[in-house]
Amino acid sequence: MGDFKYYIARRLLTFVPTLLGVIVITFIISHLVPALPAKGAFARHMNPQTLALIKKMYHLDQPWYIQLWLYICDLFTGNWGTSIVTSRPILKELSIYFPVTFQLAILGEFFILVAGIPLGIAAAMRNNTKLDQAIRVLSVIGYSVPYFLLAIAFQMIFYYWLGWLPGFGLGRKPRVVYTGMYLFDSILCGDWGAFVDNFLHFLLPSISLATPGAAVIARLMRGSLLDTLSADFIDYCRMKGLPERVIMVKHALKNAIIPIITVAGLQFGGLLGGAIITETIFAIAGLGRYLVVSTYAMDYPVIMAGTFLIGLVYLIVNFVVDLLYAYVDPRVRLT
Amino acid sequence: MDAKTMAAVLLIVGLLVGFAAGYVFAPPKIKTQVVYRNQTKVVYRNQTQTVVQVKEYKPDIVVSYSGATPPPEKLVGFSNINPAFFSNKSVDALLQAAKYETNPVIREKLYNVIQAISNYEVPMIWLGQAKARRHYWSWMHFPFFNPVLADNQWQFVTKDPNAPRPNEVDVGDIGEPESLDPAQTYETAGWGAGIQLYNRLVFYYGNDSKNVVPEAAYAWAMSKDGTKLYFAIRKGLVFYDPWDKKTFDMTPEDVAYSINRIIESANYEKVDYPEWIISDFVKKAYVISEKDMEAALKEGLVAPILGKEYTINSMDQWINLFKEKFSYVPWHKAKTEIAGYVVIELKRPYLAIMSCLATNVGSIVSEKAVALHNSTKDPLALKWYNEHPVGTGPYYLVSWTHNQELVYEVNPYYWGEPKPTIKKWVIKIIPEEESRILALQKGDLDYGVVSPQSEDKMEGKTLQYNGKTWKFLMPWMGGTFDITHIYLNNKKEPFNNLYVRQALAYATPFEFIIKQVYRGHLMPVSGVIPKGMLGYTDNVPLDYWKTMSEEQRIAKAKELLKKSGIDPTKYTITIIYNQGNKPREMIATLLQNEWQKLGFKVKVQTFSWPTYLKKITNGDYDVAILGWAPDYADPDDYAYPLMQGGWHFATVKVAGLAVANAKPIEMAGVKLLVGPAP
Repeated sequence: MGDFKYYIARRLLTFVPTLLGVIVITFIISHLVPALPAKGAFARHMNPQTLALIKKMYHLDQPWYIQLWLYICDLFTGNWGTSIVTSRPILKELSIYFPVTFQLAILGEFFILVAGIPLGIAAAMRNNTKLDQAIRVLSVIGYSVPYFLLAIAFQMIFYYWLGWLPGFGLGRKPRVVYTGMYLFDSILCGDWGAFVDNFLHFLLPSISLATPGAAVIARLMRGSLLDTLSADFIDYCRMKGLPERVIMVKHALKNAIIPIITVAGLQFGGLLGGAIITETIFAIAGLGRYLVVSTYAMDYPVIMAGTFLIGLVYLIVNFVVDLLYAYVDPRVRLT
Repeated sequence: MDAKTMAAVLLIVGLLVGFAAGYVFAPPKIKTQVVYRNQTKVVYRNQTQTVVQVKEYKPDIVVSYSGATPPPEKLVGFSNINPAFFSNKSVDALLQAAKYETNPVIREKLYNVIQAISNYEVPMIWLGQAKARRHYWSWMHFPFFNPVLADNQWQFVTKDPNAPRPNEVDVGDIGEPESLDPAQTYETAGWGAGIQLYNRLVFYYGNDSKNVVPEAAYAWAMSKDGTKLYFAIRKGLVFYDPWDKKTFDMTPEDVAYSINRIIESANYEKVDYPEWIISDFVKKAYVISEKDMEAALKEGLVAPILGKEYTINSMDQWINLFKEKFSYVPWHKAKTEIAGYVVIELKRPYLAIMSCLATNVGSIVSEKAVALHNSTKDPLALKWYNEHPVGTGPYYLVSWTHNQELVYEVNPYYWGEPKPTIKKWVIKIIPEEESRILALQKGDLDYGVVSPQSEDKMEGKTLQYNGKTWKFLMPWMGGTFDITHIYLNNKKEPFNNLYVRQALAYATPFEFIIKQVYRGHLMPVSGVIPKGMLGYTDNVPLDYWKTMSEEQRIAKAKELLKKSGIDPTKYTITIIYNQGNKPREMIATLLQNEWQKLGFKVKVQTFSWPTYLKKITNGDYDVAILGWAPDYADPDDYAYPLMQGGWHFATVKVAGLAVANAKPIEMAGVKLLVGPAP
């Protein structure tokens, strides 16, 4: 277990330089593009004095290295800047949009794994049968069809034609809001009506988000499991007389799951970055939409804060993935 | 030769000699000098004894200016010059004259001329003004349409009790307000919300977009020199603050505070900067006692009401006049006692100030609520009021989840009439067109934004509910004051040539654009001022905005190009538009098509909105497409920002004396003279 502790420490050390690299690169890119911080109809009656005031407030008149230094200091003291477009503190805005995306990502990843893993196992176990073929074909369709088509199709079928599920927006706010994640908060305060309402609203977006991911996981699971099943030690287990189920769950799965963990981790990180298309189609105000709209508006502080957040998120997710790795596969702890 | 023949010959010769002599000895040059009425100068004779012939030009209006400062070196579009960088000294004098004119008859004439000039000079091509269309289910009832207002007044809207969700209205919108603080919002969503949350000194009622009616003020009057406005403040309005769970009575101090707060807010960081609508014209506002008010009345005041002027000499006369003239306004009868009096001092007389006070910027906020949430760094509580609007209006804000939804409910302390019938209004932000249309079709939304392209999807849609069949309605409402323009960079060649601009205007396919790009949601406009606004006139020199065939257009354009003397093949025109704006993309492509027929090389480019704005304000473009929406319902809000060329004058007098080197301008049926004062 000493290896494990060392491993964790080593991995944590790589955090800081990676983060700094992310900040510097975003900063440089967002400052290479010349544009005017446009506040709505501000330009209509533009007062040159006010423009100068704004430039001063956001330190836009300082040389780039001063701006970078000021920014890094602010980040680590909890001041993630003020949005040029909305004049609200960015951290506050992120605390509204991020929980929504977080819920979407969790639900999405949940569906990915719940659908992808069993389908992959089934395909592997019934190798080369009709079921296997069906699952393979469905997989290909699942990850080839573009996101927006899936989202619109689900909306049309389940909301418009069948009317089974709500097609846009978030559910009812729970009685008390703690974290901004309505699903979680409604459990915490016992508001089951809000929980069900929110869950129903999240179903279509998260399923449409999950479909390509589930397809990928299914194929990966199948391939990885087939690989593992063809290894020597499985034959040994069989020779020992272990039941098929025990072999599957206790021995084969543990080995085969390793690539799934990596991919699932990356997928989760991607979902957390915000699924802009899903959020737009289902009218959910999440991180993806916020960042894309801010990029269009050249809202530098938001772009930098958002990139920093996503970088941080990826770092944490990868860290957790590596931990899981090290837990599942002891050999990794030595690296 | 007999006598008769001799006489005839003599006559003819005599005539011939006479003609020859007349020709030889006739004055070699006739100097024509135009002489004006009201002039004290006298006709003079040329020393070489040529006779001066006099032709009389009788102007209707004479505009004389003095102390002219030319445009600055660094020109910034929208700031110190119009975004088309058009600059003409006489036009600037006219614009300044019209801005500050206090006689409504002369002011209208001046704007008629400005309209005609905008049509002739065509600094930007006036593509058209928007035609509004409502999109809603037949269970909703909207009694009025007012082009000045950013949204319907919800207190007048009713919903059929057999409809889905009878006590709640769900609206599908494409974006959220940038702020709910009147000092910080400068876009449609924020101003639309302000109509329901606040009251202003004056407002509009019904379909009338030209005249203001009393709201928080019971009555108003102007000092004779036009620089002081007196308001009798209504008693009984109540602010509701749901966050502090308090109510406050609205006092005259709140009114004065609101105006001063707007002016002061320019010095702080805000979400947006609409305060110029008041601070450009208002010096300050303060409360006066009843005694001082009576003293002012005794000196004699003037009340502009419903297009007429009334002289006021006593309190009773004043109050009774307003009681009688506005008896048709429902809330005017609700509370009729006077709480006090407020004076607003203007920097210069400005007739349009009433329209400015009727905008969202004139909303009355609560001084006490601000005091509960301000700090030394933020004395006006700008950060708090942004998302916590405390007003006296018929609705209040329950919750605001950014970019997701806004929820409003009826204000239980609303003072006025009629009381709103719909308890809850939810604005759902659904930016994706498809999803919004689906939600509308299902009836999950009562009304919402339907873009012209999606209208056929909603055409004829019906819904069964509670045993009734409901229809989706899309009635045409009439012209709004939103205009679309094609800016030409007057600083650059070939747009600095008048005939080139006119040629490009003729070559613009107005009919095609209105039909195909806007699907009828646009109507042609004769110049800078939209129809329905004071100053609009059809009596303009050029007719490129009227319907004609494509061949006629190109022929006329080519004729004008020849007159201009330039060679179109030497020029490459780049038309720019902002990314994502489909109508403008289509217009740019259509213009490219038509203008290439004249011989120009035309390119089309797109930029993101901030870059686009930057290029336009720096004058770094050839042709750009933009729109203009009213800040307040007065022609000065259009003509001035869109045509002023950077010339400023210390004084501009209308009907002034003798002008030297004046320019006669005869347009729109008005004879004008513009020139420097002697």
